[in-house]
Amino acid sequence: MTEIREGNSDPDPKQPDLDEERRLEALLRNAFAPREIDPTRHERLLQAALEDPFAPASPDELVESERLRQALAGQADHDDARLARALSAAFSPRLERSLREPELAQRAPARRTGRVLVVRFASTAAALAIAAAVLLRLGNQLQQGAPAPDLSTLALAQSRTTATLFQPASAGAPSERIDRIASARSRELRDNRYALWGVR
Amino acid sequence: MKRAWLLVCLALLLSGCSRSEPSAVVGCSALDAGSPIDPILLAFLSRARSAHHAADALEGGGDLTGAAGPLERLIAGPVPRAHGAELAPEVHEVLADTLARLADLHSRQGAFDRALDDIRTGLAHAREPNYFRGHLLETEGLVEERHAKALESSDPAAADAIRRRAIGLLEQAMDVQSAVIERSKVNAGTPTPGASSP
Repeated sequence: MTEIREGNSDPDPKQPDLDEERRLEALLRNAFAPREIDPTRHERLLQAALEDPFAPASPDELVESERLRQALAGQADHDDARLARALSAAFSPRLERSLREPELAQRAPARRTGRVLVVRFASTAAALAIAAAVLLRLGNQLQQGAPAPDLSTLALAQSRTTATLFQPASAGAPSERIDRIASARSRELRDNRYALWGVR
Repeated sequence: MKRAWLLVCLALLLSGCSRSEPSAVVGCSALDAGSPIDPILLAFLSRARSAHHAADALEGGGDLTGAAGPLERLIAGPVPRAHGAELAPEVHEVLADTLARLADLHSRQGAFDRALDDIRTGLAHAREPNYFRGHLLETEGLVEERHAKALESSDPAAADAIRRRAIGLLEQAMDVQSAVIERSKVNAGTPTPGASSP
């Protein structure tokens, strides 16, 4: 096997630095155990999402939509077009289109091909090892040290006694009692629906 | 340098792979408590609400027989069953409360046996010593009190026996409701998972 020589004048392949590693760890942690969103930010997101969908398009929106149209027609580039193509390819891949040939062979000088491959292999393996180690460490930490998730926040409101709603001194008339039971359970059914929609 | 970096990565990977004992399964009381609130339960509660408000309107006009009608139809009508068998706690409690109201209406019309049948059926729906059971015992005591008054002139001895029974029932009701109040003081500040505020 080819040995990696020290003190080579070629630039080092890009290694993940500490900041990048921390960012990756934070992303993995957030994906694995997301925290509750800040209420103010949540409110802003809701307001942004609930803007009038039938309002006339703004000049900026018109410009952006034209750029997106051109990108979808293959005449320009646009982030949303790339996203749309990726989603389209994931949903309905077009197998008749051949993939582009890799261009590595044209770029790499023939004399260094073996070394470059080894170095690239080493750096890829290193990055994968770091990611796997972080993921496994994180998993172990969450299983061992972190408190168990609050199941009551994940669970749906259950059918249960309503006796806790009433005190002998303030139970009211029978129709008032059924009013309270029905409105409490109605609110919980609504909460359950929101939870099932993933918005609780 | 690169070899050292690789060794560090390998060590990290191996440490991440270290075997750990599987954690004990944590019971989830919130999930085990019962079925999630669903629209079928709400349909029953809506029907019950309508029946009680219709009964209010008829009772307010002095029509006690008419007022019992919607409540009797509620009792005889369809009830939702969790997993096809058990009644939900809310259904038991609404039926118990409705039967207590029916007992009151029937006893006010002099139908004491029927009122006591309502109570008996209601108590089968409220076996726990909670507000609803206490209310049924209280209503049974009031039914017997009316019954005793109705017999005072025709059968004083029977009236006296029934009055004593009424007092016993009312004391039982007081005991149950005292326990309800005491429990609420103990439970204050420890909300049940998923419990709703009134």
